[in-house]
Amino acid sequence: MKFSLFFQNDTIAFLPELFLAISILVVLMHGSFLGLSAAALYTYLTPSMIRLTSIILFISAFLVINNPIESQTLWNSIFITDHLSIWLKLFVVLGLLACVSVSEAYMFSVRLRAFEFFFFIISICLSLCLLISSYDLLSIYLNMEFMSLIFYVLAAWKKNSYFSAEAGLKYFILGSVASVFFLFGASLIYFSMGTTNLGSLGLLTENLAGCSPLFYLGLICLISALLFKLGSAPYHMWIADVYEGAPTIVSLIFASVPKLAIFAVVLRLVYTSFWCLFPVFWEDFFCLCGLFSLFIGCVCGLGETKIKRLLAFSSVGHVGFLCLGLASGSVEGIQSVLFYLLIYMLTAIFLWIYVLHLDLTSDNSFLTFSDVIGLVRSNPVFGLGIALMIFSLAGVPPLGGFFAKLNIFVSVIDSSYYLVAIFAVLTSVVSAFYYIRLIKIFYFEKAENWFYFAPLTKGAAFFVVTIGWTVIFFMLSPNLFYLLIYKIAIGLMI
Amino acid sequence: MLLNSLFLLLIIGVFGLIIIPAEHRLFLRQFSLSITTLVFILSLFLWLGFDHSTSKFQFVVNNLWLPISNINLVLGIDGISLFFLLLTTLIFPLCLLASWTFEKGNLKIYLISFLSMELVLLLVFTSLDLLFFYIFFEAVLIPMFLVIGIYGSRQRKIRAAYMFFLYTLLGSLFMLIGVVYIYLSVGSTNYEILSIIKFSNYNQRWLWLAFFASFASKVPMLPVHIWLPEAHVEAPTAGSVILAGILLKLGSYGFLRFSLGLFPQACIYFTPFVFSLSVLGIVYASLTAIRQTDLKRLIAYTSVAHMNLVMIGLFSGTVIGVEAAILQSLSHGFVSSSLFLIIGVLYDRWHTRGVNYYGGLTHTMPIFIIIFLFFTMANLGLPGTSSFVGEFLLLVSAFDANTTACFFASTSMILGGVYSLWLFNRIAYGNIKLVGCDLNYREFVIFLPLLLGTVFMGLYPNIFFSVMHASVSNLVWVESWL
Repeated sequence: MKFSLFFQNDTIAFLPELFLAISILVVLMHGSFLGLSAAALYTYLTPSMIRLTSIILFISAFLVINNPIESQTLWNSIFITDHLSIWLKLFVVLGLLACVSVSEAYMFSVRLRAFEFFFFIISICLSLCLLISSYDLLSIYLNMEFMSLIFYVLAAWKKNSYFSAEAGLKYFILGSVASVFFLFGASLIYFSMGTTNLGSLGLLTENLAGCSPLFYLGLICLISALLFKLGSAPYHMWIADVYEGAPTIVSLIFASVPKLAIFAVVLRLVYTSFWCLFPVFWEDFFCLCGLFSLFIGCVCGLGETKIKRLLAFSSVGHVGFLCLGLASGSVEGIQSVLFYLLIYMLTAIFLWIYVLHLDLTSDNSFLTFSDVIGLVRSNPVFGLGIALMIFSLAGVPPLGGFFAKLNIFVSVIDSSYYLVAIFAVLTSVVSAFYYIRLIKIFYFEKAENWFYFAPLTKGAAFFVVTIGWTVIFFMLSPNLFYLLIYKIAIGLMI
Repeated sequence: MLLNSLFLLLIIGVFGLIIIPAEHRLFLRQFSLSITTLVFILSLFLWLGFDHSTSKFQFVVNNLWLPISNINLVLGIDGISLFFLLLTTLIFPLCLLASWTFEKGNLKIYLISFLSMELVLLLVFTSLDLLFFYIFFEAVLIPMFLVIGIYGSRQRKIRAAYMFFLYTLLGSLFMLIGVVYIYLSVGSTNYEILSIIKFSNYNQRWLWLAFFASFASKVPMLPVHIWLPEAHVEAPTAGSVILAGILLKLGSYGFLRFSLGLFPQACIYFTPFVFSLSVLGIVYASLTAIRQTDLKRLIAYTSVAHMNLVMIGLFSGTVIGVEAAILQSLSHGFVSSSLFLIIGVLYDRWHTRGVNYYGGLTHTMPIFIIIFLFFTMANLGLPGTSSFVGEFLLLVSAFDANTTACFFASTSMILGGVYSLWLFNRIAYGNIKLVGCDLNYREFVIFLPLLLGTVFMGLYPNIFFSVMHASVSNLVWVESWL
């Protein structure tokens, strides 16, 4: 670490994270001093917290974009800043901004009176930003644990619901096991290589002829832990229960932002540090996980009648596509993965905002198909937007999701994985069935009783419209996205 | 620029429909009818300004989309696609007229679906870029799914909507793999560039199969035709007309433009396969049509039979065959749409499609029966109607290619006579079972252009053939067999 440039490089590059860390303390103090009486907690603490958190996230988005430091490692090579980290941090912050803005009505309805929720959201932002910039196995582990501990608490937030407690406990136990595997794998790699720094690992494995089996075992443990956090098969067992049991605002956060950060870690591991092992290890592994995830996502989704579990299994399927994109091993592969992540995050936020408002109107927390009938009569425009978003998830042209899948197919066929592509096509068609079944329920069925849908708040409406326009009319001007993704991908490959 | 203005007009139409509040039902209908009529009149200028002497693409517009990947929205027409375009722009105003008294459900979604379908269909027929052809080919699924599912008449519509969507999606995703492979090996998806590239025989066969998976379910060829009777029956009248008149032509247009154009050796290789499936389709569909008791299902099966005959012509390897295939597609667009509109007239009055409910209609609805008789004769291929020209020339080219196939295909004329005449007989003549009002002015206006078109094509088809000569000759002689 260059001590002389400590304040010129490292601190400046970490301004967003420092700002977030200080704002955590500010939020904590604001909440504890204002929340002295129960009346204050209920009436004006939550809206003021929402506004405060939104401002904090907005400012940190500005700080992230205006990072003057170009690609270099920071803080004794534990962290790195490059294009990937800047843009993914921006998307994470914007995603969390969306989650915070839509939470007002839900917090009032569910009587979530604790201000610590917003403290946790900013902590999630901090941990994800740190995770995206991590360049060392230990720092990845620490930030991943930081993120996961917050998620475990958030999943168990609803104190009067057994399912929330079950979700939190399941997530905690399984997630801790996964983190332990990560640590074990990291220790095995340290044992074989002598360093935990991703850049040094890349240099050391550059011309490796053969590795000891312990090294492969370490890699498998490492990547399995990361895939567990993503919810890829064969580590998908926790996703459905956790997404269903957790309070819906928490499921919205789960579904949208962590995948970006963990995929950043996976991309760095695969393409920077262990790149030369690619044809030996990574491509088979990711192909297998991808195909298995696609299969699980399409088969399990067919049998589901509860909306939240359906969306959880569909996210397993999408992680399958992302793994296939990783397996291709080219710049198109990275481009397709990043692009798909972005489109998936937007679509997930849109759909989970819809599920959030469904949750507000229904009596119990289990949203089945019978709860969604009749949206088209009460909110025709929103219903059309939801239908088009579901078509985008299914991958039907000319919506944004199709272009994401097209890129993945381009990268897969570029690496000549024809059978993999055919299998992906077949699972796409089968999963398209349960997507259009949802649309069938919206549009084609008659509701027995009058359907009431909670009106969207201003924040929710703003994000719904922006995301809707981006995904539905993506085809009109894709240049911006493609050039941005290209810049990021090239930065990673070098 | 003319092509761009067509699409701009339709986009303005869709936005106008979104903005106009839903209470002004009459104004919504008038607005959409005027937009589609304006698009039709503009497309006539395409025919007017078309140069018959060259096979190059005309009215070409190059809208940049993703220049770094060489994928741009290139639009243009040539002799093959001109008439499909005109058919599309003609059928849509007639459909909107036919659904004038449609009171079921939300009118705005209906009209927006139709206008966006017209936009996407025009883009399909004019796009010269393979990826965009694929995108719009698939994009038709969304509005058609909504139209069948929301505005169908009975509960079976959901099953029909699923089948329509999933059959086409499965085939098309295989085509996507083919398109991506072509893009990666050639570096561009522009049709003018692709038509110069020669793919190796092995590659051609796999790519042909990938494209076949997609187009076969649209034509529809035999094993994957089951969505057609379901979708046609359950869709509303205007939906059935669009399906029969235009969406079926997507399959044969795709075969013509892309399979014949880009993979000629594979086409020669797979010709026996296509012939067998088509002949089976013709005979099987015609025989099944004779047994039907639902009016729409009968006409749906006749559509299967006609389009399979078109496939025989396309793969015959002669200029006559391909030109006749295009003409028969057009004629089928006119005749089949008219037949569905005729059934729509009956359905509007009595809300049933069972054949045994209708009888003796000649006595109370003579004008309607005249039009019904004319189109029944057109359906079976009476000389003087366009359908005869198409079928006769298709049989000539099939004789040239494979006489056995021609022999079995010509049973289409015989069986066609059986089902058409028997249907007409049961409905028009016999004891009077139902009494109703004859055609009103609006319905007469719907049938008039289709009637004139069929007669015109039947009596003097050279007007249509002379446009197609240059492009089809270029396709068959220069690109394929040289």
